[in-house]
Amino acid sequence: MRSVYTCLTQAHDHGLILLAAGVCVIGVYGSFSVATHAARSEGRSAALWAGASIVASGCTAWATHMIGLLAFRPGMPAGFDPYLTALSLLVAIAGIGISVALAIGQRRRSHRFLIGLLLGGSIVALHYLGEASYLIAGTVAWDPLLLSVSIPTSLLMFGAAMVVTGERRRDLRRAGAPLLVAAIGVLHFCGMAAMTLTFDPERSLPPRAVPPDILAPVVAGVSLGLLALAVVGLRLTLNARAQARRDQQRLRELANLAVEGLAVCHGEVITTANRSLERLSGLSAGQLNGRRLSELLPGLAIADLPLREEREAELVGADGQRVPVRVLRSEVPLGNKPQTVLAIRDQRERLQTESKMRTLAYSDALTGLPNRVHFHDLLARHAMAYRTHDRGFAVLILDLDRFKLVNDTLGHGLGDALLRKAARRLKAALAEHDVVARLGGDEFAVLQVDGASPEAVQALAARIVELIGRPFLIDGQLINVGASVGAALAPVDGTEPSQLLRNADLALYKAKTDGKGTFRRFEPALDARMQARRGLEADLRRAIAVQEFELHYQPLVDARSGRITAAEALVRWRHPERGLVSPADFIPLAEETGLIGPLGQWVLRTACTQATLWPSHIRVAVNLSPAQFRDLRLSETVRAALAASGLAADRLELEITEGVLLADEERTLATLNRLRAAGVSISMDDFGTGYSSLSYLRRFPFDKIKVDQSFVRQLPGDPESAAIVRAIITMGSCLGMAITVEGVETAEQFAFSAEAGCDQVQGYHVSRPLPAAEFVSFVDTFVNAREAA
Amino acid sequence: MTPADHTDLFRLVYRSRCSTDGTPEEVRRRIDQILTVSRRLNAEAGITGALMFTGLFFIQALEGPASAVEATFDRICCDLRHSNIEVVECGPVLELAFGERSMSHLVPTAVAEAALYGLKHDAELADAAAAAMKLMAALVRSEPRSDEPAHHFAV
Repeated sequence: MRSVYTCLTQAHDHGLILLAAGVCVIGVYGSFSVATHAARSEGRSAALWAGASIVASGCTAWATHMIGLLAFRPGMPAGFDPYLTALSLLVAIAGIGISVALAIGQRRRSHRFLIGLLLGGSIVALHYLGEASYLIAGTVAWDPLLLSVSIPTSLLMFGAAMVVTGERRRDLRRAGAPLLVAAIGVLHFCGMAAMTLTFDPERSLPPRAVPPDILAPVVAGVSLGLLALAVVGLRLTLNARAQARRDQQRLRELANLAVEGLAVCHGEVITTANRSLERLSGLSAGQLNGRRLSELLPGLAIADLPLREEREAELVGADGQRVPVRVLRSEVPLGNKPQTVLAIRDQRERLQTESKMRTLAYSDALTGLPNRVHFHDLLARHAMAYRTHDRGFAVLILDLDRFKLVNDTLGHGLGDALLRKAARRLKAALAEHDVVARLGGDEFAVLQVDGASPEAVQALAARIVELIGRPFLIDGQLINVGASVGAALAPVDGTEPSQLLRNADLALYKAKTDGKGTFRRFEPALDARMQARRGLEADLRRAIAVQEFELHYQPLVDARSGRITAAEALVRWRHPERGLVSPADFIPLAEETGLIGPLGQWVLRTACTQATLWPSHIRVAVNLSPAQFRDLRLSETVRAALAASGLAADRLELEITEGVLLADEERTLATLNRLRAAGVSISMDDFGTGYSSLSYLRRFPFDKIKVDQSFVRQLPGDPESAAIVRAIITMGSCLGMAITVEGVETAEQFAFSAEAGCDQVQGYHVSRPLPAAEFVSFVDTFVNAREAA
Repeated sequence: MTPADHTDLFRLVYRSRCSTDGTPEEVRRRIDQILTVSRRLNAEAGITGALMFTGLFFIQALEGPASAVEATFDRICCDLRHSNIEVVECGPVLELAFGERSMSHLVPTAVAEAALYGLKHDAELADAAAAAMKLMAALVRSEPRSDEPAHHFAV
């Protein structure tokens, strides 16, 4: 060992030894920094930088070794074999390159150890090739013992260095570099010490020996190259660090830009949070860092959160306020290790929007009241609760009387304002827990839940009628409407929502027909009546389809000559079970349901057809209902009936009542004029009852006026009736209209009418209404009797 | 608030029947309450007018911008403490007839009672109302300008 020490301290130029150490350090730094850059780079540039790194490390080993040799002062002429020197450089580069390539990603220690041995072997080869290239003017003797100890020792140290370099533990890893340097040191200096050079003047340097003076600049050049590479490596490292800082900064800025709150967690503890999370929680960055997740998001077990699936949670802010959030967990590689990142999204706005949408879907936009859907929901819920809690409740349905009139005449804007004000008054009528909804149009419904009893329903309805009945002031105008209210009380009037609504509706219908501005509660009789009505309606439809109707004719005779001049067609329903049904029992229903249309057409066609069988001087009179007048094609229908039957138009008389003239006078007059133009005559039926406005007579020149039978009944005893009948007859004759007196039942009445100057008489005194066939034979016998007489 | 020069001046006078009952003292207290609330809301809305209670009927005159009168009348019509509301007069006017206070409380004198007889007994509303309005306007004019409810006309 002494020889090694002596070798180191005496046989070497100290300055050059230090230089060798310096070149070694610079070269190693350069190689490593370039290698690190290669690891950061990709593709071709990564391969280039890796190659440069390997070449540089080989050069470093070689240069260090060569400077070490140059530092050696053997005390005799010395030179270098150029081929072996070059070969030693190549061996160093190849050995290091192969070892590094094998070492990358090598996990197993034994493999790493073997790679270390390989690396050591190449350094040993470098060293001894270098020794072999060192030519002196003398002989070289080797100390076999020192060699046999130092070579295996250094190889083992290389192996150990590679093993610890690949270790996970940092402190072990740190031992790698010193071990490597020590291995090289052992190899080099023991190798040098084991070598004994003896000057032999006999021997001269071979001619190929390159003197140190020439090799030194080459080594210096390589060393400078390494220095340059180290500078490049330093630049690259500095750049990489700056880039990393910028990246980190940008990442933080990006995180801060994110709307969602982001928290990087280490286990249960927050390590970093972005600004959104600071805002969301009201906590500062300092307060957030190091905070446990269970404090921020209580009840959320982070470990149980599935990846890429949002979970609802509540975030507890600085002031203890709870914020609904959604949390998404993801595992993200940050730096070089995977970390848990929580994305926390504020749900307040979404929930608000949702609740607003719900409000819109469930409320009436005009009045802000619950809408029909919402009301049905509430009702269903109450009906359900009733079953379990046995708490009575009531359904009230109401609509505004005369609303349509207000809306049509004063405009929809005002109608809308009225509905809004009505909604407000309805709310004022309710008890605390009652609910009012707008079902549509001017129809509202109330769910009464506060102690619903017959008396309470009555009281609530009275309040509604009172409040809605008060005047409304809208845009300076006073408007009076009213409310009709129908109610059904659970459980007495039903427990099912649909049943309650239907029964309340029936009660409302009753309230409206009983004169508006009132309240009616459902009663079973209403239902029965409605059922009967519905039954009759179905029956009527069937009867029209199978033609169960027939026409009877009541003759009209000339008051002076007594001849039959016309017959009034009267419809009868021959019901298979009920027998002959009077028109009074089905005409109103037919008018209400619109069935009067097809029925009226049938009557018209049949009357025209049957009249063609009569003597040509006998005309036929057909009644038209107001509903038929609403049909704009009435005149066409009449023409068609005439054309189809072949009846002359002047043999058809149409009888109308005042009701026809009440609605839409202009249109009615136009229709009447068209009918008149077709050659049909028009009679005013039942004159003297109802409004009997004389202006009708002025506006439309009727062909005939029929005096209502109510005046005739008292004739001739009642002086008032007699005066009225006389007055109508006089008026008619002055206006050029023929007069018929209806309902003449006695000879005295007939005589009075004839004497008063009326033109025609109709009534049981002449004949009751007769079936078509009987009427024809009646005409025959009547005519024959008169001729016989 | 002096809306005298307001171009959009509107007046509404109505009569209604008191539907709360109780001793005269209770009724008086309730009317004072009504007046307090009414004065506050009217001052906010720019409404002036007068209220008279005859023992069975209220007669109230509201004057102010049309929209404010409409809103105030809406509120009055949602109140269940009175009933049978009948509008006596309603339309645009050129000047205030019931003073500039947010709500004067007029208490009819014995003589005035007689003039109000028709109004109290559901007679022809139009005639009775005209008489009542004349009386109220006169009471307002003769009332001292103070914020104290006037009681020197008290029966």
